[in-house]
Amino acid sequence: MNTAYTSNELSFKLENLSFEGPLDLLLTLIYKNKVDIYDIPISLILDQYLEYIGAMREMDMDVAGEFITMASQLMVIKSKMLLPKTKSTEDEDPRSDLASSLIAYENVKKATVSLGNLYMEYSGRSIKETDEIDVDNSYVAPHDLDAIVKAFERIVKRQRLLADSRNEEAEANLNTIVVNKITPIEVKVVAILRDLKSQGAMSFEAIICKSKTRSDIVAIFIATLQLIAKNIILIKEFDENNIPILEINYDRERRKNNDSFLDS
Amino acid sequence: MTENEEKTMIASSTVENEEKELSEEELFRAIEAVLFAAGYPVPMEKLCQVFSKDKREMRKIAAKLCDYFNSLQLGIMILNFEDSLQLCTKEEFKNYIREALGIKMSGKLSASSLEVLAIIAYNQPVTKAFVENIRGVDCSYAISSLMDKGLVDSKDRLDVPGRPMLYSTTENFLRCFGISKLDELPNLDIKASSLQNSNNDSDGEQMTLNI
Repeated sequence: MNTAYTSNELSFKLENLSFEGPLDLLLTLIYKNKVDIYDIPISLILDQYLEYIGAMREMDMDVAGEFITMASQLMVIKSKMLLPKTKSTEDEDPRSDLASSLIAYENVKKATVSLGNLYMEYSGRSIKETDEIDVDNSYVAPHDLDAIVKAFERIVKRQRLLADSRNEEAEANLNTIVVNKITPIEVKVVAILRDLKSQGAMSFEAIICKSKTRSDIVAIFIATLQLIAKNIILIKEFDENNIPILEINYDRERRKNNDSFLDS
Repeated sequence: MTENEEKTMIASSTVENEEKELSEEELFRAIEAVLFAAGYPVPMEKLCQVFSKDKREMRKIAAKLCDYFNSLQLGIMILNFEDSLQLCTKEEFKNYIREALGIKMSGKLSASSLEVLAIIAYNQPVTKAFVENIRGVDCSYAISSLMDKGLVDSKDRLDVPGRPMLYSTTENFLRCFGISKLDELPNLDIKASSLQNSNNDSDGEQMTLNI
């Protein structure tokens, strides 16, 4: 059997060609060997085909499954050719399907060349993207200006009512959530002293009564205690209900003129 | 009511010139404007609807418009795809466009893409199996690549078990290959094969390279 290529030659070919598939490879082998596609010398072609696949493996190239499939198909054809022709198989050429496939593929390759040239020439034709045109949603029905004003007034009124009721509601809600303002003790200290200065002696009850909130009461109480502890005010006496009556310690005041508590 | 009148009544937009008959010049200009704004191939049907003409009239107008417009020797041209019209740039200015827009323009398609495209173009509509049968290798990647490039489209399915998609070429394909219709695909010197039919197809299609 005459193999047209040595292994080296095939390797060289491998470096320069890459085949689209087994048909591509077969066509190349057929051309190189200058054989008739309608009368393919199966043994020769098969041997070279297998050499090629071997060379691919040697070069660590992955041989696609289709190449292996084709190899087995070629072997089947070869073995069929080797069998003696019987009456029933007389007219059938085991190579005919392969020939058809090869010719069809050959035609495709020709078309590819023409199309490739056309593409190179004309693919430069560019087109524009579609313009984005905004949809005009402007409302054009005519309206009475009065109607619009009246509508606005209604809205405002409704809003106010809503707001008011919301506010009352809100306040009511708030009072249960928010902690009341804490009255500073100093404020009550000043207040007590002012009151005592203007009214003379005052019952503690009277002083407490002035308070509005619980925080006030606490502040007054502590303020009173502090003032008593510092001797700025005195418990003059206790009234019939055992409530202390307070007054300013004038003696002390006379002795200390620059007491900041009395500055007001 | 004539068909034309019906069409204009159905048209959603208010075309203000509906009643007024446009002169040929004005008509040309209006169509050019529409083509520019659209960018894509505007179907003849749509033009008929917008300009109140029937198909035969519109075809004549389109042919005249293309002759006129393309004779002006501008940087752009109108493509007449028989069923649609499209404005596009002339291929000779590709490099200027590429540089001005800073884009890479495809100069080449891979060999496998071209092979798949050739099979589809000359035999459409075809299934993937058909293509793979001729090429002898898997074509999924090539087909999806061609679809991405807008050269191939799948508009239908074959009515057999499995209902495989049928592929055909698009108007973009026509534009990129410089032809107005599939008839204009290059004639190939086809070798006849002795057994062209039956044996090689898996879904009952003929394996031919028709032109």
